[in-house]
Amino acid sequence: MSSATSEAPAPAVQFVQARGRSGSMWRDVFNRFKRNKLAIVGLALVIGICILGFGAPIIAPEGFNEQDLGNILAMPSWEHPLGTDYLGRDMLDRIAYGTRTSLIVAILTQGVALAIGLPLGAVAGWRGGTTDWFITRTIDIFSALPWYLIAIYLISVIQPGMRNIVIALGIASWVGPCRLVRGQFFSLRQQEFILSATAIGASSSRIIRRHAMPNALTPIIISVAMGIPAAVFGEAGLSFLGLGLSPPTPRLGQLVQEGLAYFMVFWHMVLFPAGMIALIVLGFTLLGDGLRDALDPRQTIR
Amino acid sequence: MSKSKMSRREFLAASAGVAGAAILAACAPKPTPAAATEAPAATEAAEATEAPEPTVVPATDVPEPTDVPAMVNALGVTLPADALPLDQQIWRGGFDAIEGKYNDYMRSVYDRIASPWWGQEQLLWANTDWELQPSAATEWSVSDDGLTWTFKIRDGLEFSDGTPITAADFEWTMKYALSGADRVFDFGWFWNGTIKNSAAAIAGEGSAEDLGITAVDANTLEVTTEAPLPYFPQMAAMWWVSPRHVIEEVGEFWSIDPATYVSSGPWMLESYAKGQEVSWVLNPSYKGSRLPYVNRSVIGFASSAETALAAYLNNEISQYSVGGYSATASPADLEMVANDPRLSAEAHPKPELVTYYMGFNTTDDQWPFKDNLTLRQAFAYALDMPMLVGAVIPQLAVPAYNMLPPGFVGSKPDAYKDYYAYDPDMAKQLMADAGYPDGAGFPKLTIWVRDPSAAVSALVQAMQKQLQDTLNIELEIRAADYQTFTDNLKHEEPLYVVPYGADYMDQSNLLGIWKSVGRHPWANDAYDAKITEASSYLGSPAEREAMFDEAEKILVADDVGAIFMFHPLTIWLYSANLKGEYLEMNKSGLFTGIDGYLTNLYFAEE
Amino acid sequence: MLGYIARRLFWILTALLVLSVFTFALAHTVPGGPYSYGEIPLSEAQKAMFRKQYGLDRPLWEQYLTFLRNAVRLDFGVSYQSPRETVVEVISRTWPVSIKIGGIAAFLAITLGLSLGLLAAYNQNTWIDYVVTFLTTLTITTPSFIVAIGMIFLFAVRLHWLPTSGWAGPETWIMPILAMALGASGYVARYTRATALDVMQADYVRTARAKGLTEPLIATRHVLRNALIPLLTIVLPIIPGMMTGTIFVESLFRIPGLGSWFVSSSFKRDYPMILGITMLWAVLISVTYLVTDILYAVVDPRVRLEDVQE
Repeated sequence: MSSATSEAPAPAVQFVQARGRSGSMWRDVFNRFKRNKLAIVGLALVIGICILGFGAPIIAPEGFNEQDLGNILAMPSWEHPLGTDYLGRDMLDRIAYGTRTSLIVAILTQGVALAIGLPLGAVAGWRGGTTDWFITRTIDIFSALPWYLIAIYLISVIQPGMRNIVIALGIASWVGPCRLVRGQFFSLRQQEFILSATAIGASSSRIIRRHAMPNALTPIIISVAMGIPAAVFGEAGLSFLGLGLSPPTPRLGQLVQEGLAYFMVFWHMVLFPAGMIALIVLGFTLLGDGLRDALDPRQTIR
Repeated sequence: MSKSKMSRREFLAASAGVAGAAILAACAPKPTPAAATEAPAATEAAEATEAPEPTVVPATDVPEPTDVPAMVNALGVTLPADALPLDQQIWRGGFDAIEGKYNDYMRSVYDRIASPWWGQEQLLWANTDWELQPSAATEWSVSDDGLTWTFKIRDGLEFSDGTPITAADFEWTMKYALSGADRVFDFGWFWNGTIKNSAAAIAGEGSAEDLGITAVDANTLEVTTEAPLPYFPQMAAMWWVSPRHVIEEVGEFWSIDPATYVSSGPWMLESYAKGQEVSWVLNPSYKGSRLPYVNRSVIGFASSAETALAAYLNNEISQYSVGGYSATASPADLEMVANDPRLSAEAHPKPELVTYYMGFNTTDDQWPFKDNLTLRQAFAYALDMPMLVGAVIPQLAVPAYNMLPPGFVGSKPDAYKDYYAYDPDMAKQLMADAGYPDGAGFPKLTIWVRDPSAAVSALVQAMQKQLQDTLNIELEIRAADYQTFTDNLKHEEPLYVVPYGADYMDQSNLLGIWKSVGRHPWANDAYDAKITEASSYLGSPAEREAMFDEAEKILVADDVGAIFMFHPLTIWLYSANLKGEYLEMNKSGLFTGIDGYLTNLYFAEE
Repeated sequence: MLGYIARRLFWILTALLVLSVFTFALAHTVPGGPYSYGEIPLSEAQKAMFRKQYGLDRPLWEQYLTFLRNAVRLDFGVSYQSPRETVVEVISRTWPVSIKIGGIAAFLAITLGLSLGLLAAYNQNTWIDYVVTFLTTLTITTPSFIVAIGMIFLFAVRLHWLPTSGWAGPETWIMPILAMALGASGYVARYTRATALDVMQADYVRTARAKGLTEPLIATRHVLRNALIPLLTIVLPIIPGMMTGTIFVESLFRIPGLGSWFVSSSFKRDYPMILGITMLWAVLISVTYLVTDILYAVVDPRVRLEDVQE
């Protein structure tokens, strides 16, 4: 199953003929990207998010669990711009650390997804035949898996913690990149420039390295940029079901979930972490769109 | 720091811009709508005609009120003069109700569906002052040796299919529950060691026939106990009857299907749709003494507490309470009530006879608390529970110093205030004495919390912080669902947070659960002996109380089985047109909530 | 074509078999069981009694073979959580509810998404485009449970327009359908816009335009038709997800659909239900992909199924 869908090149993803002009190609990409205002906004957001997340230890040198029991559930003020939570912990600190944890979860998840999906997809698409058949069947099985069931099992019943969240989300997300890469390689193999490279006696590994990989890079970059918000969303969903990391380690989904008990009065407990999730999703989505447009030469027509 | 403030402001502006508008609009406080105080509309949940479950009967099938001036409900009870018409006497409850898979309280207590006892007659019952009242049993007495109780069963009781209810049915039901032949009654442990030979029966070793329960004749039930148990009638208030003839024919799931349901109580199962609602109508064949006014009752189920308050505010449910055994109330609920004139008028605080505590695992070798009283004392001194409770869940809980909550018989919180009052220096000293100077060498332990509410989660995090900071150790928190928690309790949980609520008004209940019966990984032979002795003591009540005091002192002070955290409060909300004697204060001046069968409760004109 | 479909169906069956082994093993290696615990851990004797009662005391392979033998006859056994019903009965009772709500939501999401996407594409870089982009971005970036809770507070608590939850008349459908449809419509709109823009710049569209065809004709005959191909890959997989019930939405709005069973059967160790739902889900997804591929070939005659499959 699921094969024709992935073979056809996604409309916006076109092939870059990387014939030793990669320098000018990347310059073109950069110029196209620069002209796209939304993409710049996305990039700025992503940079901001990363600064907030990975700069969390600088923003909140005391950590995310600095309690001030005399000042619980304070509304936003100069001292606590996003208010405080039910233990008087600064919400900005918590959100910064939550962003950090959520980003790490998302990046690790994408790492897992790529680590499994890339080689499998490349091998399947390039080799074809029995290998492709076998990998395609594996993809079929995994895409038919109701992964919430597995996530609940792994996290709630076996052991909560970052590792199992990443495994659960990773299992759910390696199929996408694998399909993409397989489709790319499958189509690439039929392309004239590859055929001619083969014809002039270039080795397979050289073709893959010099031609196929640079071409497959585009969908991979986009897939990662789109996969990160998906992982952040997935983590939020798991938190909503009451699964995930144990307190007090903050994650954005968990902050939202905790906040729901206070939501009707202390709206800042939900609004800010939910807003942060929205910003992450927005930032990475815009960035992904921008990258796709920039990496797609046909977009220059516009 | 100024740099970080700058970025905070920018961040605030950015995030408010993106997702703010809709949510802000939704939570801006608004004046109470005029419609809020109207009676719950009888239209909404009743006609679930679109649902695939064919069993939901539209409200119109309920007998119409006749032209006679006094309104009489299906049980023949005349409603008070100010009552609304019968078709508006519909109790709508729940939305946070328990939903398991049994609707028979003598089959399962923890895996039950809302209030199974509505369709089951009980032997005795306790009123809001915890005084025993006759129900199926009209009188009860004990033999001189204190071992044999005789209950006289009311004449003329019958199941809704016309089968008479006799003493033999009560006998059979308890034997069914405890015999353990092909089933496990999850509340069996409550009866363990009380009725003669109950321990063996529950363990699956003895036969049901050996249990000390005999129906001498149709009206006489005799119960022999292992030892004299002066409080046994209190326990008998948790003895319901199940229909033997139905169970033997249909099996253990007779109770969830209206087609096979047979009631012995004032209510009759009308419909049950899993995940949706359970509805009850009055059982016209009921001949007992527990007579409700309300004509129909619908209990909705929902997985999230957030929607329950919303449903109450939208007049979909008659009553909503937050807090209670699961301590679900958050400071937001208090604030919400305080800011809203309607809610302020409808809110009734109710102290609960429930105690939350963090226990130590002293029975498993792998944890440092075993045989290390000094270490447990260090933990006790390191925590300032009154401060933490007061700061984290103010007005939602009373700090606990001991097991027996204020208002419970024999409760003496003042006697325990001075034990282990917060003293960080002492805690550090004891930590060193226990072999962990400045926390050195202390393993990273996990505090297991059973199914925590927001409030409990908050408090445990505050406790974790204080313990870590004071003792310089590392602790983790793991929130576990009921099954995972219980399964791991004995061996895997060094520290565990769990509540217990009173079942009946005797120390043997709340202190008895601390005996080595398996509920806590803590064992103390002197304690067990003291509780056993006090429970069966037939001498003066003062002496008996002193014995329980001694035992409680072992648990709280001498052997430190746990750190006692708090006693939760419930905020009860019910609409202003709900009336009835159970909504008034009891003798101790406490509001105790509605009666278990919804008796004496009705919707009145305002 | 028929041979192709037959081969695909055969592989779907194979995948189901592998999946059932996987799920069965996973479910049964987890500690705990389908019994009530209450306050006190069960004794080993009590646990053994329960295992026997549920047939869990036999070797795992034997349990699996029993499962397989029955599953072939579409008998997945009795649900542990709802012991008066078989798994098939639970599914046939609850799934229609999810199909109804999810079907309406999917229809809404797709029509709304397609129209908004085309609208934005045709008005690229105008205020219409920006408004649509802003709205769709908002729906995509907000988790559905936040949307749902926000709607409950707005429409039920503040305005008293709709009941908070339940499953009665159409008034109880509005919020869950919206909660499900909004996010998905955002996705569809974004992809529609992107693909439509691509197609609009394609040579054949420019040729059509050069030939003097009217814009509506170009839109329907060329743009939509060609945009449909990639869109199918985005749109169709939305449908099984919605039709099996969104876990969050169904539980928040107390809809008696299939969605909530996904969660509760895991928590309650309801092995028969877990396997039943997994199989149902797998069949749905597989069939959706098959249909997608076939439609692909129908819409775009250049795609030959046999070529891409083996």
